[in-house]
Amino acid sequence: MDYRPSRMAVVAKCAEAFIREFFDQNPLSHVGLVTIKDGISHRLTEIGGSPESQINALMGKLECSGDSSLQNALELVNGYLNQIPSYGHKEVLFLYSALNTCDPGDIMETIEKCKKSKVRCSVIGLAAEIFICKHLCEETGGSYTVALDESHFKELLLEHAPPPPAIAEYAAANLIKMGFPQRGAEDLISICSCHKKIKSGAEGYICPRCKVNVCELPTECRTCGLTLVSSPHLARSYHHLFPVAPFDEVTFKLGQKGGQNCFGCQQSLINTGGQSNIHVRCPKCNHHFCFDCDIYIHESLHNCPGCESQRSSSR
Amino acid sequence: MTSAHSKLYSDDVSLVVVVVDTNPFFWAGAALPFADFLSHVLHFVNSLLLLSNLNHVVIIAAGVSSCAYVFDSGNAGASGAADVAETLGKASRKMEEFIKQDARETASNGTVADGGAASLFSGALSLALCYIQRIFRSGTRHPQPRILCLQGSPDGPEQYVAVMNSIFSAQRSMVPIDTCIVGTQDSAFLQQASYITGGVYMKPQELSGLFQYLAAVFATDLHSRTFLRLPKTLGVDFRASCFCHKKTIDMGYVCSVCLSIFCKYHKKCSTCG
Repeated sequence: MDYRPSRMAVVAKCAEAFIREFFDQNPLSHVGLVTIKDGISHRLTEIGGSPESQINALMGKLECSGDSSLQNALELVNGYLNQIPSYGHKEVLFLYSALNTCDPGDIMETIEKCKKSKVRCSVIGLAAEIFICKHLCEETGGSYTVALDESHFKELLLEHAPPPPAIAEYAAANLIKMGFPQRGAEDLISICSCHKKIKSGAEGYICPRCKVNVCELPTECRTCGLTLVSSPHLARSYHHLFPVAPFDEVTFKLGQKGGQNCFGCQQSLINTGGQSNIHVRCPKCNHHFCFDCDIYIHESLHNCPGCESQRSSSR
Repeated sequence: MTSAHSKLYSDDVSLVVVVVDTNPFFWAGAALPFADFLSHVLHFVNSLLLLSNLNHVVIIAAGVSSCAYVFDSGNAGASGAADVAETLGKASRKMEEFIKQDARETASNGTVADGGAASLFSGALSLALCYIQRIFRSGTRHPQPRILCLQGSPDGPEQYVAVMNSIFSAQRSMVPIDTCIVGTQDSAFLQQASYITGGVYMKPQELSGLFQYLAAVFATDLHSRTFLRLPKTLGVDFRASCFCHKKTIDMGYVCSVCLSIFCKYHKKCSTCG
């Protein structure tokens, strides 16, 4: 029972799916890739805010050889993450297949350093549980999981995409200056600052501070360093701030009026097939939903249709 | 959440969920009477059903105090051509019932009294998306879904987060949201919705010819749209508005914890502190 066609291929494919999901859930974040080979850590890609460069690197030829050194990887990552401003949440995710680590120095010191710089380290193991990984994750507040097979590995990896809850003392609220660029005029021809190609103004966005043309958002303006975003990128994260309350399970009582159909999809809630008639109900609006709508509402939609269809006193 | 399933059903079979704005505060002062508007819409629904016998149309009404399913062509006992008049009749009756019910609820609520009240668009959009998910679950052979919004009332800013959540969910499921504005003002929410999901946004100039606009622009299925030149909006304004003055800003300050947007630098974020 091993990963087909090879562990490297499976890890690369799952990592690609993870990166897409990660940017979907956290549009303002940055991701970088690091490989551990022959006991040394290499930086595969720079920390960037766009998924394409990361995915291109993953699709390239990735080889495995030699020992793995957890300490070297941690030192490298620490170096990069130290440059991140304090309002950013720093995290490392190890996809670890080796059963040991060959380190040049005292790994416990490195772990202390990570803990001090508030870097949250998590590990997903492909082989067996290793004490040092468990210790690392426990010390830094990350999670350590070991995959049983390919689909389990993908599941574990995708669990790291939604943002973890922030600890109040660590999350100092800063106000970061950001720009909200508009599209340029149709007849404006200029050179975009990211690819150095000639583009019409209507295809790109104009940085409000230095007026250069950028191709896509979110990005950092190359000329003046201003973070450029659009309001949907911020709105993508609002559902974390206003989550839907979990629904209660209810069973049908005989003679109960109303609630025959799921409020969301109008499917009949009464199972004639002898299964117990359990469905769910929103505690705020008291509308009944089927289990499928419950899953959809809590995982993807993040709105309760019942609560949205009522004019509550707060509106 | 999985994205669109394989389109084994046939490229040109569609499921259209029509979200109709029935806000009485808007329709009382609109140029086109609601009864005429409804007849345009129902004739359009009929023409959609006539395009293919596998086409499926659902109408959801967005009122001021509630939202509800008004018509589902899958429930009608499909038995042939005699259904045309029956379809229209059933849908009109259901719509009338809904409007009466909504008016009763609004009166009992008592809080909504001004003419600028928004309809519960976010609720209707969420219902539409739940219904579409049900169709996705019905197997690999299903029609291609899309949503058509007929909106006239102004946007309710309190619905911003809910509408954006629905838009992102529609984008992930690859469901385009088309918009036809039957009022006088453009809707920023719907412009963003159509842009992000790849739908069509249109504001017809002559409302008395609404049926022609609907049939020419919104009747085509998703596969055939690639061969047509449909109205394109030149540029959606994605700038944000600051939380303190509600004016659109080019550059602002964003709180790193709660993502509230301010136009001037403050020492402490007023939303989360």
